[in-house]
Amino acid sequence: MSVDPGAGVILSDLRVRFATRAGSYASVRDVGLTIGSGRILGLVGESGSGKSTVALALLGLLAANATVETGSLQIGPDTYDLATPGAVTALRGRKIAMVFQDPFTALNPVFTIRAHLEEGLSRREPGLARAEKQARMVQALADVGLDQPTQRLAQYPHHLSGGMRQRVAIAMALLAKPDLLIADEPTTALDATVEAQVMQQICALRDRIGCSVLLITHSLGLVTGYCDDIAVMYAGEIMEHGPVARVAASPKHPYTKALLACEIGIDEPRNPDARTTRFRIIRGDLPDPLHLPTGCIFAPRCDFVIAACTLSPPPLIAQPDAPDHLVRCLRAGEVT
Amino acid sequence: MTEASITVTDARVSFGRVQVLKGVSLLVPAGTCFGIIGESGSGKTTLIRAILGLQRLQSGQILLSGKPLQPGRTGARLRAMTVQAILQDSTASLSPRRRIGQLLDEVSEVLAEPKDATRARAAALFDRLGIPAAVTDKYAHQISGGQARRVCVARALLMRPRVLIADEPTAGLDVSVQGDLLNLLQEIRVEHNLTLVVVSHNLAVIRQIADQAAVMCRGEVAEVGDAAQVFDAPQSDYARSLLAAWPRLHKPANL
Repeated sequence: MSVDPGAGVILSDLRVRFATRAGSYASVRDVGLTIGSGRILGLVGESGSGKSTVALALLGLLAANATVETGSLQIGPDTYDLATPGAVTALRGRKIAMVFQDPFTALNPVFTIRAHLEEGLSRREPGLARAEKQARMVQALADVGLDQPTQRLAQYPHHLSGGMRQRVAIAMALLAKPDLLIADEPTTALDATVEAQVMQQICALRDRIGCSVLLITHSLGLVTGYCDDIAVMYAGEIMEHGPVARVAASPKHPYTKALLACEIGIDEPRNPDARTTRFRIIRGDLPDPLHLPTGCIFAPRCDFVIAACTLSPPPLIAQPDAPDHLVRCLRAGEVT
Repeated sequence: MTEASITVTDARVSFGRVQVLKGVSLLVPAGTCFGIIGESGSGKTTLIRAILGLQRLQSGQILLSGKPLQPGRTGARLRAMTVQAILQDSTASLSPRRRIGQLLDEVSEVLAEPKDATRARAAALFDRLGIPAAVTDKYAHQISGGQARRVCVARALLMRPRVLIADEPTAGLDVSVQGDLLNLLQEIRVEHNLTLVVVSHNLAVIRQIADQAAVMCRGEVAEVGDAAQVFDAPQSDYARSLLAAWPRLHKPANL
């Protein structure tokens, strides 16, 4: 993985193994991510690609049957070994904050909004004066665009709509002033107009505290609309990693290309006779994690496959003309 | 057989003090695909439930092929033979206590068709929809979400409906497989000459498959018309704001 000198957060060589009744398998293999300070990296992948496992490993919140075999996390000058149990516990709520997928369960129903905000603030800055705390919390709620911020503090999560709850989660992150904000499908449960507002708030938070943001999503539209960089994951591996402008304009991995082709844009040409419209798919299924193909894991579904692809796993390597554009494909140069 | 169209006139429904349908009027022409979009809580699902006869109207009228919905068991049976629906959570739409095959046998009861005849039609439909025959002996929790959705499509088509309503047909499906289900709907729509009503949050999908579309907002129809008009030249402020909020996908022109 090439290292950007201005990088805020670098994850390298993450390998997570799950033990199941059917056997044990590495669901995430050699995953590396580079997220510059003040940049948003969109980690895209379909169900079962391992993107949420990456987030949970970064937070040290993996299930009991999961083991981090290797992985290191570099935040500024500090490096943390993710394979050491509890290595990141102290980072949660300080250097790393999280916005979860489901705003209906991420907040505790028996605590007020004040209690939610205060917990993070006291953790980040213990011994803050009461008045100062109050002012900071009101400001945080105002910053994420909630009206009547002072009154909101006394409310409970069930008083708020889904979009407002996600804003509270972002306000909690804002108070924690993290180096890394992880947002796992933060807008999946929300309507399009609210989704846009929440994404704008996440961008605003990035600009305000200059943190690195890891946005986990299955929506390429969100990534091309709001992110600076993109990492495409498939069946536990990074297939392509680079600046959004470059990757979306000219994907070099056949999977990225196929994924973009399947996504339907709102401004794409429309068939005058809607009955004749047909949609793109990616044929085949995800590989069985217990029996991965010997070569490239995407080879069985790939339109560009050649004999060499099935012999050994291709490495993730930088494009000749762009050191920050990494592709795991033998034929990257031919994909147009 | 007469073509089925749906006419909704000034439909009103309240839950307690909240009016969720505030006088909705729509005309779905027979044989077309009609898309319904709008945000959560705009009344889309309540409208569909009313068309299915699952939600009583406070006032207003719904006509199927020009005839009002009949109350009672006879009415329900007639309705089931005209309108079928695929609801959001397909796995939950299939009873967990019976095997898929047993669920399909219910169709023969409603249609008063010999079981063997229904089973033969089911086998042909499974083959057509790409559902493995072995699914018949399984329970709903033993099949994948994508398969459950196909089984729901098969069960709906077994009733030989004139109208098929799909509530969020692509929700929860990955982008690489959602096209598969949409293509299937597109094909059966033509094969069975169905009137298709699709409700979805996914504006881009509705824009591509619908002939006409209605935009719902707070229990009212904010805008209705040809899909080309509604999506590419919206007249209402609400439709404009909804479309503006949709994330723009930047992808290479050759894809």
